[in-house]
Amino acid sequence: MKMANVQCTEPVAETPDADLISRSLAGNEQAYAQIVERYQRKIFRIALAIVRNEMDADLVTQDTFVQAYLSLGKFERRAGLETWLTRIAINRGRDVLRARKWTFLPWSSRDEDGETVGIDLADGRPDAENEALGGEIGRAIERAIEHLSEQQKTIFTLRHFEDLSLEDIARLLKLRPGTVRAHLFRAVHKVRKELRSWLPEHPEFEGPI
Amino acid sequence: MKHYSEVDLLEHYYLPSSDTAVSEHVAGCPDCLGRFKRLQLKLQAGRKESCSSIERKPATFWKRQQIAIKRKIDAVQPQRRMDVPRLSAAAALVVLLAGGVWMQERSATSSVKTASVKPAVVRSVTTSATSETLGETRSEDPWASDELKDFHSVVQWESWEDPSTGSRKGTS
Repeated sequence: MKMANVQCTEPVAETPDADLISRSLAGNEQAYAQIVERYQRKIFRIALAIVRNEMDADLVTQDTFVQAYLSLGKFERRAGLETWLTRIAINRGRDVLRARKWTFLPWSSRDEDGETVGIDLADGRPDAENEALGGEIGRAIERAIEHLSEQQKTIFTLRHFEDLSLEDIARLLKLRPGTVRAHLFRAVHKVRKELRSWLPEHPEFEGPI
Repeated sequence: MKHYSEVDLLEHYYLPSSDTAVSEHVAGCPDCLGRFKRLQLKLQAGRKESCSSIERKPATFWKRQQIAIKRKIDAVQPQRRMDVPRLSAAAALVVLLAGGVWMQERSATSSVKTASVKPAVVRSVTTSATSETLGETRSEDPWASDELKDFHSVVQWESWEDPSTGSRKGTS
């Protein structure tokens, strides 16, 4: 599967994945360490897109590589290693989302007035340009995401944060493209609804002419 | 002519081929196209921000994550490694036990075979031997033995006979 849409840069792959897999299966720990190093950023980003919490994303990334290591012998190599790892990460991320249903939402809390507020987990502060362009709408979308169902959340975040095509999302989630489209359609409508209620307070967000 | 807001254009952004009416309008309306491009920029800026926040992470973050992954694998690995020796050890133990039981069974059957022949001989020998010895001991007076012959007078003095009962004192 081609996932070239992703904006972030990846480390240049020197040794082919197939070689690293074979060496890892032969017990070469260094080879698996190379796989981890090669894909940990990408997997962390996918995990963060789904769970929206750095601590959980870190754990999901770790668990993804542990699970992949233990199942490496079963890896059929029909899909690429990157796709396989991404699929594991998505499943682990969804496990976290499911577990949260029964606990609490760590990425959101209520302030003194009872308003739901998101916790800004980004490490660095956004620069002025980004803040002006993407900050407001980004935060509004973050808030809107909280109101989506688990499936809608996964699909929407993969589309929004990873910029994956519907076909790629369908392959990763093992769903039909039509199903993904339907979920995404519902998710976008909820986001729109959320943004509409937020719009009057933010006139800089352009309305219809 | 109906124009679209950025909120409306979200659908066109995420599902480009879902609403052909919006797509056609955006393609032909410079205002809406401009709004759509601004929306695109905002969303992409948000995504880039999310990416760059990950890229800005210090090398120690990734190193620590690698170490955590290795530790977790090492924690699981010994259990997996242990499984094979455990199985082989269990199999060896079963074989040993089965062998032991078989050997015991075999020796038991062979001893039963010999026991069916030998006991008669042994019994006859032992019974005859015991009866002979018993006969000897019963007939002989222990005080009259060669070992106690020299002490006979002392023994006689200390073990005087009670005339009323006829029993010998000093003996129980």
